[in-house]
Amino acid sequence: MTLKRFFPVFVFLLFIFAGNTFAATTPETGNFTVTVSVSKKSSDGGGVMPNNPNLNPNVIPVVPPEENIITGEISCTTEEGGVCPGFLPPEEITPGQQITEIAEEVIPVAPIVPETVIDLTEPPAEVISDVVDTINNIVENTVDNVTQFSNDVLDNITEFSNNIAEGAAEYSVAVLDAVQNFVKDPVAGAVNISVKITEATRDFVESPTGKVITGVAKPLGVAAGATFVAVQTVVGTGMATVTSLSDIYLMLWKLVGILVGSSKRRGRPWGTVYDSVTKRPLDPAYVVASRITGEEVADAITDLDGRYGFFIPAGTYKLRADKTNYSFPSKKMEGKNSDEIYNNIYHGEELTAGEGEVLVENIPLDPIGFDWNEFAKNKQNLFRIYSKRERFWSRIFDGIYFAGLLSAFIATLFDPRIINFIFIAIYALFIIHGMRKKGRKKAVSVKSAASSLPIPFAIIKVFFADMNNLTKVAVADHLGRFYFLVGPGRYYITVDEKQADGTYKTIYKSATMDLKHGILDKDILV
Amino acid sequence: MAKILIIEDDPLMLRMYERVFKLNKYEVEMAFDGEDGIKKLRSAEIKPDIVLLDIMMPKMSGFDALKIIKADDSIKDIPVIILTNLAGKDEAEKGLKLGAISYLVKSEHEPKEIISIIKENLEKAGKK
Repeated sequence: MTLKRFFPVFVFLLFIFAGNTFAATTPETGNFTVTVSVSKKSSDGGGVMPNNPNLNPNVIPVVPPEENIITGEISCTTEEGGVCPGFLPPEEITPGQQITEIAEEVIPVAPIVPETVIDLTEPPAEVISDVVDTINNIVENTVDNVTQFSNDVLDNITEFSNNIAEGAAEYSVAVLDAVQNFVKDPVAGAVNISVKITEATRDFVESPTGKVITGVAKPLGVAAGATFVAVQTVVGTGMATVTSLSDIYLMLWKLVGILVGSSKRRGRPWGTVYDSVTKRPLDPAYVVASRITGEEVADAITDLDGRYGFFIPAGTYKLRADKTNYSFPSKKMEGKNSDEIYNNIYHGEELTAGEGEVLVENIPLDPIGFDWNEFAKNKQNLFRIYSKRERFWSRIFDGIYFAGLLSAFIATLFDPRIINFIFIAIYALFIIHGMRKKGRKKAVSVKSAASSLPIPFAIIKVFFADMNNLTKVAVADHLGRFYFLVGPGRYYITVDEKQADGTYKTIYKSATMDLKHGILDKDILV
Repeated sequence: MAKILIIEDDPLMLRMYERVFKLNKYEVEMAFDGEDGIKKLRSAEIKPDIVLLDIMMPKMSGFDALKIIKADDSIKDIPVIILTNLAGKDEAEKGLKLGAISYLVKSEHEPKEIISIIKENLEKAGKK
């Protein structure tokens, strides 16, 4: 590889020295025999003897330094004053010819096709090898530098937060791997890159780190799938024409932007009361759901991660959240529907709960004084769901998302190809989907496994498995729907069925389950 | 009428529990941190039937207060229920080991549920 990389240099030098043809001017037309006698060492511009008939007359073997005197003959036919090839004054021959000979010995004369990096469709004939080689070097160095840079950053992140870095590193390595493949083979790489980034993003989001950062993201699956199909289709049908490195980077930004952005803009199956300035969840905050008449329907105290949720009959309600040293509604967040971390933000307006929906609005509160509890909690890092780095990562992800969106717009504006319009369309779909989404979650149900019929008014008891004590009790509605929220941990559940005489009988006990977010996300089949 | 001493540093929580307990015909006394709680427990006038004890408090934590309560012969027999938002297994085990009769997590129990738990424990202790 090293020798090949120098080949363009040899060729270049050959071009320069090719003009120094050895020659002897003859006095008249006719056949001549030229006898060459050299009595100097080649290092001093030593003589030559092209007596090998297989040699190119322009290529003269260099006299080995140990041979001081060479004598030989060559024949040529010239006109008067013409040039007889095969003779070169010793002082003009050595450097170029030496290099040429070395090049011939080590490199096959066949043209070298560079291991191209970019799809240079029908490269111009005049493009010389050293330019291609230079591009190769630049690309290789760029990839190396990006990899190195990425590793350096990841090392820092590791020190910064081991848990976060572990997931991010895997993600970054996977993406870089995909980029390198793409760079080596644009067409196959375009397909491959979409697969790898899709897989990497899915893995990352599904990892504990990713879940902390991005939460459970069903929309991501849709985004990843849609992007994958789009890229496959576009590449497969030849609609994509990757013509430059900038195209690759733009495409990457757009792909990653879509995937990251779509994963972030999702709802969670709980609401969070949080500090409008620091974005940290607040506890204990007291949240009340009231009818418009003022009648209180449900109340809750937020957990360490500021979480709550109300499964109440369909209707119109107002929420109120109170916390010592904080005020509601937030003036800081007035008129805003989302921020770096939360969407579906509540400001005190009337809400309509649909049938079977759980109210999970995110409620910001403005700080109005020092709160010892929040100070102590943050100092001891007692959060179980919320990550202190969540805001940091959210900003990073937002940056990637909007950079992708911006690059999609710019690319479409200046280069209105189908692929660019597809990216814009995907972004538009997610923006519209995000605007329509209210963040509401459906309650889960308890049903008969045999008939799939709901078990109405069942009592669902949640037991902390490690201590075998009752933690939470939820009562199902007439359609067997219920909702509960407990701290992350290992639990088991029992179901008590209402009997005809009004008493209850335990009909089900689950195996111990690990509720990582303290919430049941699927129906109970009894 | 049973008397409840709530040791809790958050005024909002104090007011909320006070309202709920009073609505359910309980007499309520309040202390704002561990030190204040110990002081009121030892005073001749208050003498609560049961104590609701928070853990995260300034000056003296609930765990420290519980150690002192259980080491003081004059007040060690008063049943103590821990009422906190720390939902970890370790904290729960520690609280029960120190002598609490129950460990309740605020976010997992609505105020009215806490009423029934208190009632149950008072009945066990022979007090109503």
